[in-house]
Amino acid sequence: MPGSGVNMTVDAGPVPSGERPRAFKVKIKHWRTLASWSWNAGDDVCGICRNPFDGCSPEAKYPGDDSPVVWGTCRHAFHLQCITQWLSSQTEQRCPICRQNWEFKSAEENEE
Amino acid sequence: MAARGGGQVGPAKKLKIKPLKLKPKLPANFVETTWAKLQRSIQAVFAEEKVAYSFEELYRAAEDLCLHKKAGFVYQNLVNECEAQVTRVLGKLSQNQGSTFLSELEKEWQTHCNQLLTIRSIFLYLDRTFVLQNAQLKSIFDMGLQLFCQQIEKSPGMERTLSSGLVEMIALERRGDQSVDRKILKSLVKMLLLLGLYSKHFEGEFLEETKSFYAKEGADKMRELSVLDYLVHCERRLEQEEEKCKEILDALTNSPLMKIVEDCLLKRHLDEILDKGFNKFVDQLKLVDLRRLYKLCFRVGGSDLVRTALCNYVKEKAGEYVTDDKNRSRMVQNLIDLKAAIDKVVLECFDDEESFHSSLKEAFEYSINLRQNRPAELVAKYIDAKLRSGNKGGGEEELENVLDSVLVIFRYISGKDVFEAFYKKDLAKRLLLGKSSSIDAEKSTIGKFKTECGSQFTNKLEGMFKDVDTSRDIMAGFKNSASVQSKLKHGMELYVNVLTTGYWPTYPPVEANLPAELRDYQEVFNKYYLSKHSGRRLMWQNSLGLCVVKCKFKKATKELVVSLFQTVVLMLYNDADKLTYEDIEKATGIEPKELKRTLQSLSLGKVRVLVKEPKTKEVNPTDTFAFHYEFTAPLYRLRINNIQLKETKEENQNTTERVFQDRQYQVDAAIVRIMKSRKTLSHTLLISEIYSQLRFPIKPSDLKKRIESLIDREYLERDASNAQIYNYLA
Ligand SMILES: [Zn+2]
Ligand SMILES: [Zn+2]
Repeated sequence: MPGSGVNMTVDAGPVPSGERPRAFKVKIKHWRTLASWSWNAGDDVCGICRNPFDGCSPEAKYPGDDSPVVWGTCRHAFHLQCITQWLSSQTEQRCPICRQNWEFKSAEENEE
Repeated sequence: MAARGGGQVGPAKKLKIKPLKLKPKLPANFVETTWAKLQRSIQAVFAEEKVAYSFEELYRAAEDLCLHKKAGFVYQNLVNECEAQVTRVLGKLSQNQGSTFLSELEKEWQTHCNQLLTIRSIFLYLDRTFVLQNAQLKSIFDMGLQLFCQQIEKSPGMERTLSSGLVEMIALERRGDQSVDRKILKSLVKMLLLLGLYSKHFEGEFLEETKSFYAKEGADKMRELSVLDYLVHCERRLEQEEEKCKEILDALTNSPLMKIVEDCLLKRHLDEILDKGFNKFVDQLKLVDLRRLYKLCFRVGGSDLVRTALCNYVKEKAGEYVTDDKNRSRMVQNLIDLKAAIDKVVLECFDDEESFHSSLKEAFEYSINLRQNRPAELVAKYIDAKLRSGNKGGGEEELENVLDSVLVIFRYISGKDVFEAFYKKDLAKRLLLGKSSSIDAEKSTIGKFKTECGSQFTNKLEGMFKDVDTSRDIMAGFKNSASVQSKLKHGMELYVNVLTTGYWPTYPPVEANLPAELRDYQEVFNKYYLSKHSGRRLMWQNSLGLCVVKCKFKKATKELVVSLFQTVVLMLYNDADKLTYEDIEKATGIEPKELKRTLQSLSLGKVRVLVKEPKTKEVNPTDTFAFHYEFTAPLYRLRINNIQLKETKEENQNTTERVFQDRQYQVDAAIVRIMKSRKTLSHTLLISEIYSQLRFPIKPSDLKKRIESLIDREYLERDASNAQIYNYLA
């Protein structure tokens, strides 16, 4: 679970008092919490525009949904806008970092 | 009215009468007897005696002489008679130039004028024919006046006595002497004007006297009176002089007279007036007095001084508010009130002068930015307090007004990014902890910022609202997914706000060992979310989590609204009644500072569900905490004091630090962006372009450092031939 920052050690908890019945005293009914999402591309910057993936691509106004990040089969990640522009300016479709043939990695492959 | 300077014309010319062809049938002594009749009558008029002939008869006689070409003769004789008369009258007066001189002269003058009118009507035919046809001759009336004038000038000392007498009368009136007879004054001044003597002696002497009188009065009254009274006095004096001039004096005297009064009473005391009076007037909002002050200063070209005084006042007051560390909580309200008061003063007292507004803007900006962060932070907090639920105050309309007035202060802040960071932090808490009083009010506030600073400023804030909406959809999907629900077994409800990194403030990760049910739910949600959104990762933020927990006490079961950390601690008591601090620390894994705050809120706040031993006010590592079975409370649902809403010092410091880090990053990004498009640029041009792009203050020396750093990191290089030129390295 990347980045959850939470370890579970409740089972190794404190010594119970023994005499009391094990009926609950405290029960959670509702939990309202937050989680922040970011592109699963490390803390890196985009190799083309050098902006962090958490920030904006130069073409976009917003970070996040507005600045999607994509991976090549070579596992290098770029802003979608950045790599699209790069590829359209090149005759050969290669990754600007490792020079391998560029192919978009599919969502399913990304899942693992 | 006779022209000024009529006296410049020389003595009347004696006419030479050419002999004309006489009509043959006239009696030999016709001319002599007719004139003798007329002469007697003239002398009777001058002597104020009864005239022996009828007016009709005299008129005919004069006409007859004219018709018989004796007009020149008649005119010359008339002149002689008048001359004799004024010589007699004024000769008598010149013997007596004492205290009654002016009133006697005035009387003689009136009489003379009346007598001339009578004589003119007798010689009307002469006046209408012969005099009209001879351009060099004066009309009978004017001739009579001129002779009077010449006689005054001829009489030794008379003219001077007359001028000084009048000047003295006016001076007496200024000193408040009620006995001065304005009628005499008015009539004699009119005489001077008619005779053309007004500007010759009188006017100069009058202005001299005025100057010395008001110079002294200005100095004296400045010493004796308060500024407030002094200004009232000046206003009254100006009115009096204006009125006097209109009633008595020549219109052309008005402007030099008023200038002297203004100079002596106002202009030379302006600095002192402003120094002593201005700040006090503004402090006490003495609008009438400020208006008077402005009007008077404006008269003497001193409105710039008023403007400077107002700006200094603002700089001093606002500067005091901004730097006063003891009254931080009042700062924003004080500034709003100050601005409102100053606006009122400018509108009602200073003619809403445009130049005042622009100078004031500078003054406010100067003071408010004396402290780089404080005003930005406090303005954000001020708005937070207004938008938070439970804010006591008027309805929507009042909220709008409050927001508008605080926006005025916001406008002056140069570090808008500091404001944004603090505003964002507070907005996040309102949204995530359900503390906002109204989403409409929130959105309207953002709308105002947008109008003020453009959408670049509000993009991220709007993104936060977008995230809250998106999360609602995500959670609806989560709840409706059958496969998800089959995995959730604890009968607990989960709600997650999914935040886009970059929109929200970053929260420092706080470690905690979560109870099993929470961990299970987290895992289920993680899988669900990532299956819908590939290429992402989720970071759980525990610090702003909120739980509703059911607690069974001896007498009753209660629902508690608690933070996640409070929950984690409370859950330990399902397996124990009493725990040491060390037990709790080990079991929860919460770092000491956070843990102490949590235990404090549970055992030392208003709702005490844990019992601390010993019963001191501080939490110590040697304390023990027992579950409070005996706990009772009238309400079913209890909120344990909301420590998350409290600001901590570190939190504020972190926010500020992050702003400064972010500034550095933004400067770097701006430099790279500019250089990428320009390729080559001189140092000066680069600096000026950077300044046009940044929306926060930064020192040139700091910019230089960023450029150096980018050179080190090989984004840029110095040109080989000129160190003042940079090249972009692709
Ligand atoms: Zn990019
Ligand atoms: Zn690659």
